[in-house]
Amino acid sequence: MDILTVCAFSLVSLCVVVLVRQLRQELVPLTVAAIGILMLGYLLVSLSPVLAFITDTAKQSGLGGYFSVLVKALAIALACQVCAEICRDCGENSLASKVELAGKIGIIILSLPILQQLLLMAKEMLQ
Amino acid sequence: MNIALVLKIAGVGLLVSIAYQILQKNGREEQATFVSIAGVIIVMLLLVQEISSLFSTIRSAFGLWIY
Repeated sequence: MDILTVCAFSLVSLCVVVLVRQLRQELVPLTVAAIGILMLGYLLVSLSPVLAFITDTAKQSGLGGYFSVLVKALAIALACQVCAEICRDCGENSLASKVELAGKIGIIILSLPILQQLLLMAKEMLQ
Repeated sequence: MNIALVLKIAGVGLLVSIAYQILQKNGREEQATFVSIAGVIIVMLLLVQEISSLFSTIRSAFGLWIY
């Protein structure tokens, strides 16, 4: 993770976006999407040691099963947010909200087993 | 982060813009439109590869094989 690399990349990308906006209007959303995708890929790769550390800590404390669900939900949220932002940049707000809805549904489906376990636990306690 | 891709997109925009201007000045409006559409498609093809690599990065970083 190098902050200066990110800053330089964003500045050069800014120059490119301004240039492309002057030249060809229809290429601007694609350029912005490409820049966003490249930056997100770099940030994800630099995030991986943090994720590995947190996963190890959760495994040591015996919460590995629950924590993997959390990490997967984070991944779904990130992917859907990036996709929705690209759609919104291209002026398609309704498509973006559908993508966000898909992300919410995905996270709910992912967390259903945990909810089931919680309900079972509550049932046992009541009996 | 390879800045080469962003610069490549800028280059495509520049070349398409020049070709569009030349074709339009020579009165070939139809071909100018085709050149403009070709530029968009070229950039889209560049972008599709990046999107697929981003999704594989997300899968490998988060250990995600849910669906």
